[in-house]
Amino acid sequence: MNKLVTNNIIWFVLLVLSQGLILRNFSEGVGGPFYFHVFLYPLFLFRFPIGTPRYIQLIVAFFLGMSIDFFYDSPGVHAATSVFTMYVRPLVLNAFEPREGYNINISPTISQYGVGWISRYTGTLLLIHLFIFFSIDAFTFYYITDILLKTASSFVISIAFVLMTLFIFNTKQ
Amino acid sequence: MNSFSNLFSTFSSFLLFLLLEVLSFVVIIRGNEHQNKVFFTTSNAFSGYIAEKTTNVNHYFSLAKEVERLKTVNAKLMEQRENARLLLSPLDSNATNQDDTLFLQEFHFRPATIVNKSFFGNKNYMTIDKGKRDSIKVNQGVISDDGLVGIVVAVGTHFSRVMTLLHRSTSISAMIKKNQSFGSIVWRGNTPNVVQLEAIPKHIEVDIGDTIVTSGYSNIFPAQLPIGTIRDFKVKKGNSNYEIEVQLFNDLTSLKHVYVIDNLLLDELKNLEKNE
Repeated sequence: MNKLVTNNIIWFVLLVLSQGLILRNFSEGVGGPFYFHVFLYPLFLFRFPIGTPRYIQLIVAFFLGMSIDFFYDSPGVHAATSVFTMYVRPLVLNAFEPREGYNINISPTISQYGVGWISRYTGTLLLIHLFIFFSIDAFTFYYITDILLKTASSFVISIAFVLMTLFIFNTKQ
Repeated sequence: MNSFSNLFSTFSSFLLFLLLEVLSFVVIIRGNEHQNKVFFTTSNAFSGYIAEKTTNVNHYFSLAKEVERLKTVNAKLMEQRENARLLLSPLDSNATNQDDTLFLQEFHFRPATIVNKSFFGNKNYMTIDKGKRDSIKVNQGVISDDGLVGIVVAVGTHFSRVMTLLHRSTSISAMIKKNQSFGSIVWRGNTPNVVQLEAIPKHIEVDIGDTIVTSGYSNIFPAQLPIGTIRDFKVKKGNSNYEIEVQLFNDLTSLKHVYVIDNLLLDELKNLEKNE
């Protein structure tokens, strides 16, 4: 249990730093609505231990978002998005629940549930996360086509980063 | 018990979710210029919409007041028309139209509202909400925006009785606008809103559709007030005058707002004519 907490703290720090210091610089794209953001930090939300009490999940998500906002200079935007993603995560988990159920005390990984499952699960949550993020970013659904285009273009690059990271750190726990 | 605690934890996590989202949104609106602008313009558009609707509703409550105001303005404008004034200097009237010193105000208009009317039989009266207190006198003319209404026959303190055009005893001096030949308007009590023009000799040319206006000879109505158009005319055998039917411009049965005409020079005229 203690190892799990330390593990997650390390993930938290590494993801926030990599997102805030490195990936932020890739945010500019080809211009227009087709520019993309690389979102890697939601991975922390995806691989957060399933069995953690809901309130801890939500508070941790809030602080994760606030930390990202600190680097992006956009107070509250990532926090609101992260809290939302964390809140709907159980619904997605329920929808993709494998026959044998979840091992609730550890983070969901590729070695546990396979590439197909982890792609569907992270893909769905990432789409939700990006759509909510760009909606809050625009703060009005007047630019809905813009929001959808940004979501799509950012999704392609972000899912690649997320799955790559999951493959690299595919530890057998 | 377990399901209850489950429900409680679901509910409390939802509350926590809401709390954190509200907190985030407060931070978003406080801290981000763009979102702040969008939020406040949207809320302004919304509150502006509400305010507009409220104003629209409130307009209905002030409508009666507004009508009174407009009637006063109308009366003022009527007084500025040429037929309500006496030209003192025989100069070019177009060039001096606005010069008040060249004109003497002859007619004064007072707005009034019809409070009661009956159109049944051949003696039709209506009651207006102005009386002695508002300087209404017997034998003053009553008009509406687009035609004649009648003559004041009795005055109370707050109300007056008006004999409408649709009355057996009505007789108002009128003329055909195009050739200035004049006769008098009477009503024989058959069709509402249709009156007869009498005493037009049959050598005068009349057509259906000709406009009938007041002559100005009666001292009650100013000249050139529109009355109606000729609907039908015929000459009875052995008669030297036309029988002309005039369709009134205004619908007396649906009137609501009228103006009472005060001839400011009436006393002078009466004295003069009495001395003859």
